[in-house]
Amino acid sequence: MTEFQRSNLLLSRRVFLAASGATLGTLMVPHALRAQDVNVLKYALSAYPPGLDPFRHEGAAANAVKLQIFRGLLGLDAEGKVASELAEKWEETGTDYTFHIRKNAVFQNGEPVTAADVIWSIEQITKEGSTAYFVEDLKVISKMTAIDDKTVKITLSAPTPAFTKLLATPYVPILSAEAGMEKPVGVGPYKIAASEEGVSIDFEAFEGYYKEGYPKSKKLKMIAYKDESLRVAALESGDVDIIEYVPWQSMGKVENERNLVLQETTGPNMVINFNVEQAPFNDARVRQAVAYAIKREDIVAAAFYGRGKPLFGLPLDENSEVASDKTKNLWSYDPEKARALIKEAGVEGQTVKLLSSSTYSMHQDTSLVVQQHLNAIGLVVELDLPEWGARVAQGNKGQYQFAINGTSTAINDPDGLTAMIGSGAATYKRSFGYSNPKLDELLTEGRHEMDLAKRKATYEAVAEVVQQDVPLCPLTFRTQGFGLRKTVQGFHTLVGSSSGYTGFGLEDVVLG
Amino acid sequence: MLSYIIKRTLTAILLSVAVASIVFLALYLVPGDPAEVLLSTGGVEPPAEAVNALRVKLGLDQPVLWQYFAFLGDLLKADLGQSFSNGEAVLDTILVRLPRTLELIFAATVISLIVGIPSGMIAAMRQGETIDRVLSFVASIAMSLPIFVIGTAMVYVFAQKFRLVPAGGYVAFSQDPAQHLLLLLMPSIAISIGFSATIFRMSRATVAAVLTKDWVRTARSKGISERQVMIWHIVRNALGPVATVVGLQMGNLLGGSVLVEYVFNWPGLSGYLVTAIENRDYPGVRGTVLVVASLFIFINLVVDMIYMILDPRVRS
Repeated sequence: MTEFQRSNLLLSRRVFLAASGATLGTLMVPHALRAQDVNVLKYALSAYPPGLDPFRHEGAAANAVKLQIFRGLLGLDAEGKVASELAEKWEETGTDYTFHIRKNAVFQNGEPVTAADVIWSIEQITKEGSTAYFVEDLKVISKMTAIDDKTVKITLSAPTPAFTKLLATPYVPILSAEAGMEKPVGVGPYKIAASEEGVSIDFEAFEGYYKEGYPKSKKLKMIAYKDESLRVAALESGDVDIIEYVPWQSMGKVENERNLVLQETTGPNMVINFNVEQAPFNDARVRQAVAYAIKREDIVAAAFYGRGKPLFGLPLDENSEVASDKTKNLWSYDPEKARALIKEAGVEGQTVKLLSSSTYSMHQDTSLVVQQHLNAIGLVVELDLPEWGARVAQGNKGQYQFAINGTSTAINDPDGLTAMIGSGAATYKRSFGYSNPKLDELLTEGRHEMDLAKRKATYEAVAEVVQQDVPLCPLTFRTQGFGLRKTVQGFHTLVGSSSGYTGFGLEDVVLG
Repeated sequence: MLSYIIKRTLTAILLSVAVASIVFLALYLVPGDPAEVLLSTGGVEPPAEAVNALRVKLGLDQPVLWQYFAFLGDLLKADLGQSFSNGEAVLDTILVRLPRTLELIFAATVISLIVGIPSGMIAAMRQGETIDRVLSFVASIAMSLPIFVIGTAMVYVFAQKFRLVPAGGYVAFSQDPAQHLLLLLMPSIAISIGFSATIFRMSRATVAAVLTKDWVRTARSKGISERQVMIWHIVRNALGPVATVVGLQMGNLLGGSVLVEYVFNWPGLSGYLVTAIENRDYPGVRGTVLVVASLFIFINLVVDMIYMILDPRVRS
């Protein structure tokens, strides 16, 4: 052995002891560093918000953040019912709504909230060139008047039962007119104290918040974990207290862990859209065949790890006020009937292309199950699985025969169906080229009907048309889950289309 | 030497502009309209009016050629444009993100060099012996393990089982230096597992080749100490190719550390690039690719210079 090698490889006892000591020491350091600050509530976001425009839709993670810094006239309570926020009370008489702003409401810059701010904020949504999510929905407002400093009267051009529900979302925040849009100032329970680009946002309680004693946790930290497995790992190891979007495959694990709690509700649903400008899906019999051919339970099992429910009716929220047996059970799993319909339409053995996306495994897995069931009734299904952005573009341009889609409405109101099955601009959310005057008439009637019993009847009539004409084929509900540490108290997941607005309730949460 | 550097630098600038132009045009060939994609995050239906308004706001209603010249004009002013997602200057975001990635790459490189070169040398000097076989075996396993497997396994073992470190994340150095370095540890080790194996194999091969050279035998027979032979005659001659490999690998990591960043929630430049592509944030993609390409070119320039220092023949 050469001198060099000897000097390098020789390990004296002293060196060995020093090295082992150092290694052990390094391993002990992290333990001390991991000590968590118990006064800070830590919430894991599924993504870092791409932006924080108050009126624009920028995804669920952005909504969770915006709900802490901005609030509107109305909000949602733990049951998902429309509740008071900036407006302490309000009166509805036909098309007139009068909102009374809380006397103690101030913006985060200390200015009082006035009727003029409310009017200005809503005008920002509907004005020319607005990129707001509700730019079209809020055009129903025909007039806004400041009765006094703290009272606003809003008049609608037609009765709209969904109006207050629209206000009770993150998309209609009230901002300071004086501060303007450059650096918007809101009235939310928290202020942003610091943020680290792409990583986390630190919040501290806004002392002037209009609800006495809220928010209950004085400090909140939202940390982005884009990788869903890491999000779960962060919860398990105690790095965070609450995580949004628990992946379906991890729900069982979170449920069974001693220190963790899973709050699970039904959320959005999966459907199939058709391009009705092309054969074979221009034929209602073929669309009906699809509705009867697919065993929904298989999709729930394969794509959602059993975390969902079959959907054989209108794609409404489970707790929708118009939901009934007549809207829920439109088809059944009946491959014989489906086969007969395919034969009758003369398309047996025909090759059809199903558009889905490889970006989301739930879309891809759903398409695989659909493919199997449709092959079984005599169609030959080929899959087209582009990346999500390309899939949206193809959907918008009608470059597909039929397509898997995930849908949810912005609010828990049956009028959300208009965007799915009513006539309108071509988008990837609608069956391409579909238009049915009878449905349009019923949907318009439903949109403006204030009487609940009559409204129910209208949507039952909608269901009858949908059963025969199949403008889209509902497949499944999927569940939405939040994972919590046992120490988290006062957290309530909202149901259905409101589940994305669960951030309303974070002000109630404390660590026990 | 100076004229060589100037020539190389000019070529580098031209290359960067070419890269910028190709990326610009390629983005328009990718399906998906940015306004539409941005406003339908999470699969909602954006109102058509808002999509049109956003398109105008982002300047996407202008002819592509006009947009291209506007982009080049901005580039001359060192302006990479504003992000489509949040309207912030892309350059600012890159300046926040780039140091994080550089730090990660730097830490991983240091670890890899410390592990890779000495073990490569030992293996070369003990060719065919047990220690060489063991090291080579370990290296081939390390090289063939995908980084997301290593990363996920590390998170499981060190964060979830033994709870020694947090399950990934990032804290600014200014905020908490100890936590910052702790969080840097796992991703840099994950990268260096494969990286040091590459360096190991390269240095093993080159040292083995140099060992058989006449000048080594001459040096030894002159009675120079083995340590000096090693440092001045063997290592110096063997490190050239290793430097090239390290440079290339570092360049690759600039845009290719995305998996590590994803697994360990490290908010670097690669992660930003992927999000920008998903959101069709053209300025974000263009800016990042341009910066990465320029850095890649720059690193190669530096490697060439190190080569010159190591090998006088290249100088002339």
